Amino acid sequence: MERTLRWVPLVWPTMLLGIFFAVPFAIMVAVSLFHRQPGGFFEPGFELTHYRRFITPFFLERLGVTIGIAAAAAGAALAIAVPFTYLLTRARRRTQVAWLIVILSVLSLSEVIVGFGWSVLLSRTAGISNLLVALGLLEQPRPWYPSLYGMVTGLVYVTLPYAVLLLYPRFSRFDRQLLEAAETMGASAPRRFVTVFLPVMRPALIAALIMMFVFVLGAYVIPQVLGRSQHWTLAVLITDQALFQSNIPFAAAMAIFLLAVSLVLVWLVVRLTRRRGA
Amino acid sequence: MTGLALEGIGKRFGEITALADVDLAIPDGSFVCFLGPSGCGKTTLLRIVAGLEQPTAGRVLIGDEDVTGVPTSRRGVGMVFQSLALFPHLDVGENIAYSLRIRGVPKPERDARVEELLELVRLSGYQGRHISQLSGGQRQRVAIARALATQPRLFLLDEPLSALDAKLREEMQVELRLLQQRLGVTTIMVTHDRREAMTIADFVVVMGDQRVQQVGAPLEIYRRPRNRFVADFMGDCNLLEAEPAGEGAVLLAGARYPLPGFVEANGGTVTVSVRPEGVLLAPAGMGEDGRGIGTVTFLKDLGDTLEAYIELDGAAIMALAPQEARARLAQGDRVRVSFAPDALHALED
Repeated sequence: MERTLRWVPLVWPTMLLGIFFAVPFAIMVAVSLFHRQPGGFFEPGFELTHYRRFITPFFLERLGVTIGIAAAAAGAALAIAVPFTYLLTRARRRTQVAWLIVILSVLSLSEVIVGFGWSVLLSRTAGISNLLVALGLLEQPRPWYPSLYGMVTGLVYVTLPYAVLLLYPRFSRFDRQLLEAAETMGASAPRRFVTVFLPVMRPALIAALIMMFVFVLGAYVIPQVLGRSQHWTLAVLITDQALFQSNIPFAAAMAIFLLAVSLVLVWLVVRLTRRRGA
Repeated sequence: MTGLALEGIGKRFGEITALADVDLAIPDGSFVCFLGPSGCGKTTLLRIVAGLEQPTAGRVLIGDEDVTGVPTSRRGVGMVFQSLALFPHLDVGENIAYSLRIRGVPKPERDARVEELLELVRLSGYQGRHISQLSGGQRQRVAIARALATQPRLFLLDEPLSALDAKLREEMQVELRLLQQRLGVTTIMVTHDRREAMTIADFVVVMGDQRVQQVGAPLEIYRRPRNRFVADFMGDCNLLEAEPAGEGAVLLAGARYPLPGFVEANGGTVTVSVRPEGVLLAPAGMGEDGRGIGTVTFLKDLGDTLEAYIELDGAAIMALAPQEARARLAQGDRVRVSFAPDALHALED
């Protein structure tokens, strides 16, 4: 009796997971194997056509570009978030709270608003370049979007808050005596940061990096708004196939492929950066 | 030669005074304890010596060199922190070799020095162990070895033993003292445990109320405290109000007791201190009465010690009675109270 009762609290979460995750995912897997009816919908079947179609130079290149962009944006966001969060945890309590509120409010903006906001900021007619011209730093205003840099800028902007919020609790619990100990042992401030702070915080840095990478992998509004078509990520192509080409089975196959590849990458990162001994 | 000198050190955090007017000279090669209750400023003083905190007044001299403005990383001190602050991402050998690596010592030399240091703290062969695999006492030893790696001019310890259990702590105290004597390095340890200070130190700096209260050899401070604070902090102590009775004597509860060297300063009463073991009890004869006779109000028998609480003309006195007194001492007994030679000591305030 008691043994069976122990499972009762698990019923509700299991049911939710089943209904909202497992079942839709299973449907997607099934659909990716179905037969597509040209110009219409799809009918049950079993064929690997869609996967085969994906393994062609064009789509593999898209996959490469997607991963490259996700890695670049995640890396750039981390490179900004680490020093920022480090300085934030050293600031006074009130300053810390104020910054965290600002960061949280950035999170409340939708990706669409952020995308169009940056498209204005990067535009030739009303963008930042006009400001630089006024300051005498540029000859004439330039259009900075659509471009790869504009797109990565937008992606960094949306992921940065997540990075800071992920790093903040870990950084603020860091034992400062470790840095003081390194100081008594002759290490200069930059040396202390590199040889003590970063290695001790490595698990937190890797966790943040993976989270941001996966987050950017799924971004599709910002690449569409700020990037050129050759920079469009797989997510954009999936949307395109599903909504505009009405090729749901192929979209499903691409989504599953993307999921598998990102899982493998995450596994690889965890594997390669595992700390010895610990 | 002085190992460390502090001249007029003061420290304020805004409106709060953390330290005031600290003057101190520590001979080279000695073991000094900063002793005091929490919040007395002893850790702040140690951090000022290390350079982790800047004094708002005064100068710090290490081996006659003024280091007040010199950053911690160039002061040549080795420090053991309260949390030990061992690097969790490095193994034992790498922890100890950290300062050597910073200095660019080549690997073969580093390895040889690590081996030497591990032998010194009796952890030979532990180079490759991870910090999380060590016991509390072993971590302690690694922290000590790490702080000594570059042969510092000053060896600083901030309550390093407070996290250990009582038995291990006493073992480490003796070991630390023997190690320091062998190396001859000028050492300062912060502690709030007077027994620890008395076990280890050549000199004790008693701190209280953001100031240095007394500096001296442990026994000297124990027997001849300068004021009430020191007398109380250094263990159980009887503080009695006495009347001056000419040169070299005081009147206590009506009886005259010799107090060699006592000179009446400004009249009025004087506070004298006497440790429980300095109080001598003798059975009072039948009908004997008057001066120097007290009553046993309570007996606390702890097996290894026998504490007798005496009421002597309105004053409460605690005495440490010898073991053989157990048979002939009972609550309510009348006893003659006297003091061992040199046990009475007049406080300055």
